[in-house]
Amino acid sequence: MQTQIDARNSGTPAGYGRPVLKIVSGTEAAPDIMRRGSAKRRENDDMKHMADCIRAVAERQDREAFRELFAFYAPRLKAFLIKRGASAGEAEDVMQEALTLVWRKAAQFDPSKASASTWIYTIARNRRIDLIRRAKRPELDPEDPFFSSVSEQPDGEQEYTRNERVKLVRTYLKTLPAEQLQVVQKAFYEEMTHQEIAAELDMPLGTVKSRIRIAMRRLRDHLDGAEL
Amino acid sequence: MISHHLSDEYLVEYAAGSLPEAESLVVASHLAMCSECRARVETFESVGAVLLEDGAAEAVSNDSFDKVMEMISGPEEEETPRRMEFDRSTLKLIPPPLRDYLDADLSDLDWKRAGRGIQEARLKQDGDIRISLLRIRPEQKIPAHTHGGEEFTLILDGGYTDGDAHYGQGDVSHLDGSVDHAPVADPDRPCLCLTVLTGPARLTGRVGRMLNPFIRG
Repeated sequence: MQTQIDARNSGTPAGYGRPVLKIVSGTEAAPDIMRRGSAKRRENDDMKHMADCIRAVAERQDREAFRELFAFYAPRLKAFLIKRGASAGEAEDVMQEALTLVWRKAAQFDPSKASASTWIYTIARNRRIDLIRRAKRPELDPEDPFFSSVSEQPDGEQEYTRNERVKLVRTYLKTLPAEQLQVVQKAFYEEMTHQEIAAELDMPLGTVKSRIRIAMRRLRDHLDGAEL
Repeated sequence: MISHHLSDEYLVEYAAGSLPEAESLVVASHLAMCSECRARVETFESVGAVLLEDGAAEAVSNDSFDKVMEMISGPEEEETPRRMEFDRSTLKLIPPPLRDYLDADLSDLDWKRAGRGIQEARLKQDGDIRISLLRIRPEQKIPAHTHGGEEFTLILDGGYTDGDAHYGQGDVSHLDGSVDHAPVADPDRPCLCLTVLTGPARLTGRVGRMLNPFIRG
């Protein structure tokens, strides 16, 4: 879509790659958490803790809990947005707006429906889309009574928790052959359309599509198998 | 029972945020009606979450946290969702993501005759992309046609038979330009569906356009 491509091009950071800001301040907890995060695999407990932090924000506007969320997610969201074509400045802005929404929407967070990271990922993704597209992204409002009237069974067939699912997805991604992982990363992390991936990797569109299809099919099988 | 779903590749692009608006509308509207695809999208979103968790970190500005706290205590951005009041039948038949594209109740839309037994209400036209609602008379056969670009159809009410396949409420049909088909609406009631046409215009003939709402004009 034209608007998207324009936004992506204009988002190419002019002087990016020359890190100027090195200190993460205003977040005393940051270095510790970040070191922990990058040094070893985050366990379920860490993510459960993040979910608790969101709940603390929702229930008692807990600033310290929010500080922890900020320390973990802000630098990751910023890197993620830059990967998606935002300049460092735009990424900073969108990250700040996304985290503002995390605070404001905290009461809507339902750990039975999404892990903390999945929820925050979707907030940032949607915020970015709203900004780069003229049109709003059509979104679902899970509260709408339409669901109970027309929709089929309520979701929730999964036996495992959402944090466990994220863990399963992580172990699955590790088993992916490099060429499949590459297209999946470009699709999700770099927000490229299948067509753009095909152009960048100089491979036929059909190959990109089939790699993604196979990878996702196997991911679903992997999760279904884990359910038993 | 929904039996025709969107293929994973569209759900992946939707979950990743790279799917264009018109296709996203089809996906979001189908998701509103299909818990199976909702679960799939959630799975795919957790791929995004894993990549976010395990991804690189970029140092944030010195005053970043304070700025966020300032924004939080500031006034809420005035959201301007022009929330329309709809009548019951519109609320019952039009899934929430699609309602934002309606400027009136279903019965008050600007329905135009678009061929024999077919009415079309255009919701949005943006270059080559056309988003419409179609109302097809019971038992109406839609003339055989192919498409210039891609055609997505989501059944909102009623249904139709296309070759060996039957499409009912919540089902999605996705066809590329190579398919020649001639669906027939179910006999019991009118068929209401959302159609999205994408891709470059191919047929611009006045007659073809008038005869056939599926072919973009």
